[in-house]
Amino acid sequence: MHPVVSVSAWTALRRPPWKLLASSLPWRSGAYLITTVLIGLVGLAPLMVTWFAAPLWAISLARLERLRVVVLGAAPIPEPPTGTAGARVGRLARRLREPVTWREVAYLAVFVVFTAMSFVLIVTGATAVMVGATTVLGIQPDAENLVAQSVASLGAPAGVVVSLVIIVLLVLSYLTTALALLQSFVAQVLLSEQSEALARRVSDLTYSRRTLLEGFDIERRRIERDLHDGAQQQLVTLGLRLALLEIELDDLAGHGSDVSAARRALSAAQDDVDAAVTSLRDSIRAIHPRVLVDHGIAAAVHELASRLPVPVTVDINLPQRPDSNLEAALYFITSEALTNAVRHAKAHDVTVRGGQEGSSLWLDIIDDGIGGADTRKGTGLAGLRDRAEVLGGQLTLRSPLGGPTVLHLSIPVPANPDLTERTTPDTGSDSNSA
Amino acid sequence: MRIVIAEDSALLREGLIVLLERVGHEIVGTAADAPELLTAVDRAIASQSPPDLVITDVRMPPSHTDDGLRAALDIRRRHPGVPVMVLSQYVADAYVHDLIEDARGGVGYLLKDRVGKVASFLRSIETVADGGVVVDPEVVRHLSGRRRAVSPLDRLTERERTVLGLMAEGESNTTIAQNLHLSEAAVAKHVGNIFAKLDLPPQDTNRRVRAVLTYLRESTL
Repeated sequence: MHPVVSVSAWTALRRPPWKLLASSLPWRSGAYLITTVLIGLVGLAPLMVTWFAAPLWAISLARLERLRVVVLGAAPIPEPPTGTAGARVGRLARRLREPVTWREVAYLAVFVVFTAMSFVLIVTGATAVMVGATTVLGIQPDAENLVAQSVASLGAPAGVVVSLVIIVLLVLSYLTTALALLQSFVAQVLLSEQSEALARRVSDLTYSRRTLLEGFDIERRRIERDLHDGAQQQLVTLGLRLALLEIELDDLAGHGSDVSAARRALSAAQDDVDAAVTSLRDSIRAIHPRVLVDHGIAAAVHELASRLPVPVTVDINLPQRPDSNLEAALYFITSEALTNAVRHAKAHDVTVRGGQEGSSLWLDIIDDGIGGADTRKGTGLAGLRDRAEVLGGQLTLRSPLGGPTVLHLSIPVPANPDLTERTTPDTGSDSNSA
Repeated sequence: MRIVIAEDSALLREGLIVLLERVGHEIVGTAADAPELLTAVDRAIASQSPPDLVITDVRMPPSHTDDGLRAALDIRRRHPGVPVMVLSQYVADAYVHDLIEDARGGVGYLLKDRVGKVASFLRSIETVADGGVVVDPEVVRHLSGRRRAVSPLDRLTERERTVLGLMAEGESNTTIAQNLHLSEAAVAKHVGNIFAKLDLPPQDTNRRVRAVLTYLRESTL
């Protein structure tokens, strides 16, 4: 918000003098500075006595000052958001730790200086007005009228005195406007919502976006577990029961019964169960592969690679398992990239490499296909980019027409190992072999 | 034969027991997690009726990862010669190599869904109980074409490698012949060539298992 005020203040001061003087701004500025001085004079004594409570004074002053810019025709400065929920005592303690509180204390210190400067301007202005009035009205000096005495002692002609007074007042009105605008500018800078609040808002949003994604991942794992422990086991068991039935039918056939119709029906049922098991297995894999949960990214990518019609070289070596949502992101990005390589790029050879360098994980997926992939085309690659960015990572794609396509992903890993629940080392490609 | 079964899903465990008993096997122990499996095997051995086969799920309590596979390795260590058939959810498991490295044979590694293909499942457990090696076709398919840089498998022709792959899946010469539309004599010739190229002398009684183990060992997932 403050840029708006500073720009208008600057343009106000650059206006031709008659326009500035004809506007309400000098008057408003005067009023602003007078109230500054009044607040300063009223508040100075209590502040001196209770200096140890300066932050509390600063908070109260700031509240008043945010509103007082209205005098200058500006909109009130919005109160910066502070974490003020909860019990009263804790609330104050937290308020004192807010960065804005320290900016408010700084404003209090600056305010004292502004009070002094405003005081000088006001006294000068008042003196000039009195000198002018005395001269114009021809008031005779007497013992009580010090102003008239000093005017008389100058011995200057009335015309000169009045001209001087007018010049002084003109200069003063400029100075007043400038000082008032400067003070309100300082108030805007120190008392309004600042970059740290914005940064906090961004970090809050980033956090909630991440939490949402983690929520999705947790939910996916739950669904996967339910399907795996429930429906899948039941289907496999159903297959066993049908096999038993087949054995019984064989028995009956051995005793001379005609079971051909029953056998056909049974065979169809067995095919259906097989199809159901296969499709359920594929669904579970797409939701959240078991092998990823149990053995980590290297094993999961091996498993993924084993189902592709083209040879895939996998070389992933991580010093430890990343946390589960990072693992999931790595897996789904690899999965999508491999699917693209086979389906769209018509690759004959794919390489997946991954590792950790310092505090970032990297993953390269390279194929020898036709190239021409673009993250802006289609939702698949764009989704991968989003997924990487949520985790603070970066996804770059080089895919010239004619290939090769190189997808590079790098994601920072949390420095604190406590963030990762599991500490089982993620075994690399070789130790995962069978 | 006498079988110990470990499977944490009660439903599937029950289904397996009913099926195996129906085809004439005897269930001498059941377990719902890895510690129970070890106890069941120990008890069966202590009662002078060692199991002819242990069938275990890989993913079981307590940790729900590869407890069953680790228990299987443990059983092989403590009671050498007890055949173990492992049922897994996925192609790659961290300890599969250890299981297969065990050159004595009598090990199997199948994807869990295979139990639904009852005829071939029953054949596979017979093979393992007889000291053979059975590895799931999907795992074998994954293995094919992935070899160490210098490997005795390089001496094999493409056809011989295909035959060896099918041997690893637990197929007999007869079924390999059917699969590849060859005569049984032709398959026997390929198998003989494989044994020769892998330096397995005719006096070795267990050449088939050794050939399969070589194949699995030389291939890397």
